[in-house]
Amino acid sequence: MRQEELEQYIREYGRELYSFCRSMAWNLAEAEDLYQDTFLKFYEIGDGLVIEKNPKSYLMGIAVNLYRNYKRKLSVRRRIAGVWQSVEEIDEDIPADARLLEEEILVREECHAVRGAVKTLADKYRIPVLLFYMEEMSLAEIAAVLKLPEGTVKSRLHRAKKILKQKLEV
Amino acid sequence: MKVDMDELLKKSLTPTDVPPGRLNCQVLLRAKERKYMKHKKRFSAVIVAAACVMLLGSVTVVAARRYFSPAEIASEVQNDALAKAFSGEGAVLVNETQESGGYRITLLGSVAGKNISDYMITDDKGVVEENKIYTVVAIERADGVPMPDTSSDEYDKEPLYVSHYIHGLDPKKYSLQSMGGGHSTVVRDGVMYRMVEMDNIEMFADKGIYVGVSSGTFYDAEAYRFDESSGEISPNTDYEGVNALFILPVDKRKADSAAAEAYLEALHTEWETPAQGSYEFQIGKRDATDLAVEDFMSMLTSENLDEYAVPVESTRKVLTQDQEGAVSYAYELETGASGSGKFWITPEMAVGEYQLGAYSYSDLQSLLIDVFVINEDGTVTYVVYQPKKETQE
Repeated sequence: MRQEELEQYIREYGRELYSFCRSMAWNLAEAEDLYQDTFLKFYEIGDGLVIEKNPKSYLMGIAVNLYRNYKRKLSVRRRIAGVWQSVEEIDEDIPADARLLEEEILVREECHAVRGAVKTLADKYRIPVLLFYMEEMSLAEIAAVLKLPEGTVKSRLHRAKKILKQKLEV
Repeated sequence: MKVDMDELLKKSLTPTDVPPGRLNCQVLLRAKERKYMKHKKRFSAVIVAAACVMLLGSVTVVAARRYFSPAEIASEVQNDALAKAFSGEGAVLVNETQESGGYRITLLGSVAGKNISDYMITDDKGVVEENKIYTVVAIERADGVPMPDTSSDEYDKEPLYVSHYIHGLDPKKYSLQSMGGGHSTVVRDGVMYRMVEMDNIEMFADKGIYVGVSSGTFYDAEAYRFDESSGEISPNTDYEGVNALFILPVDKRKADSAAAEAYLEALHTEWETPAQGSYEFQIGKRDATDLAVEDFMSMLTSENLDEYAVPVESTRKVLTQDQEGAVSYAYELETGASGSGKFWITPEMAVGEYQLGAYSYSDLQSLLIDVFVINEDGTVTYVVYQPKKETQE
């Protein structure tokens, strides 16, 4: 892959990938590592990629695999502790703005609550939820990335929504 | 109140985080380092800095005016050499406007040549020759609503693909992304300026060179019609979206059929690479064991666990949750393999349902999976599972 192509992919998918990494990783530093490593892996293997083959799915597939590798290397304790740490970080990321209308504040709080709840989901539910709702990937694309049957992806999404509904009491 | 969970999730999870420019610079730096390792090329710090600036562009505030010139846009993206080229005699200034799909699009101009950009790659012997064509278009909404700034969340919500095309060559195959392309975007006074670059195709001047602006991140095959017999490319009149198409008035004397043929040959060679779409290729061949285990674990669910794996009964034990809601476990197999850890019980874990925990392996045959089941009385049954022999074949 050429440098120019990498730059273009960063421009086109950087924001989506970064949001995904922020939602997957345990803290900002690890999210940035995941983001960098995903693009570098993509760059490394990108020679001759056929563009029509959906570069976004490639990127997300690499990110998911790298995330799983990271996770395996970490202790269970760190993983669990990190979940709560990153939930707290969500609030820190949003700058306070006193001029926000009450309605906007409510919407923002609702988004915080939902993102926080998604963060606490087990990976098997969290990853399909992020790929579906955040990255707007189709069930078929998610199934290909996770190497699962489409039906399994569908049932995990269904189950995830049920869990989130309970968590959020909506 | 009934809440639509789909709507709520979509709204809440819309990507809002923007990668800092510093981070993107790091990616580019590391990519260049890797390229250096692979091709033994050296990249000067100046070049690296320039590449980073490119991504960080669109910050400067400039005086308001209708359209900026291509040279000014090149300056905006910190490319002085290109700005100079756009101000020189070789530049083609067009200023032709078309309306398409709710946008007013103006082809401002183009310039092509060897090493006319600040963003050159160097090696031990100096600058590697780069022969590129650069074109700038101004895009604004026909209804007068300002185009969102590149730093805005709204930016690129309606992506547009800008590319050169060549008469006689199928635009589906021959466009910006298959011909060494890239782009920079600047938004000023509600107008989006996109500067695209790709391999210099002026040697096709006698055939005809187009500039297209169409909806989508990549080339949309529906946007244009390609007549194979005549080689003509034209906007699809039935297309519901943006599909502006300009003819770039390139000096026909620049046509060079031998160079064009050589270029296409080199391009086709570049495209002909081994099948690289395989999963193995994607994440690295050296990780074959990791792959096999990842595959197995990806496929495994609490519902199909017993279908693909068997419990190691000697490890089964009932554990009690501590004050933090966690259970501590440890096992030792006859083979000498041992492990221990802590597992947190969270509210979504249902009673009686398998919970897959951590796993360890040196290969698929030795894979050990921690499995937990919450019992009715609040205790937790722990057992190690191993893949069934037949699932490993």
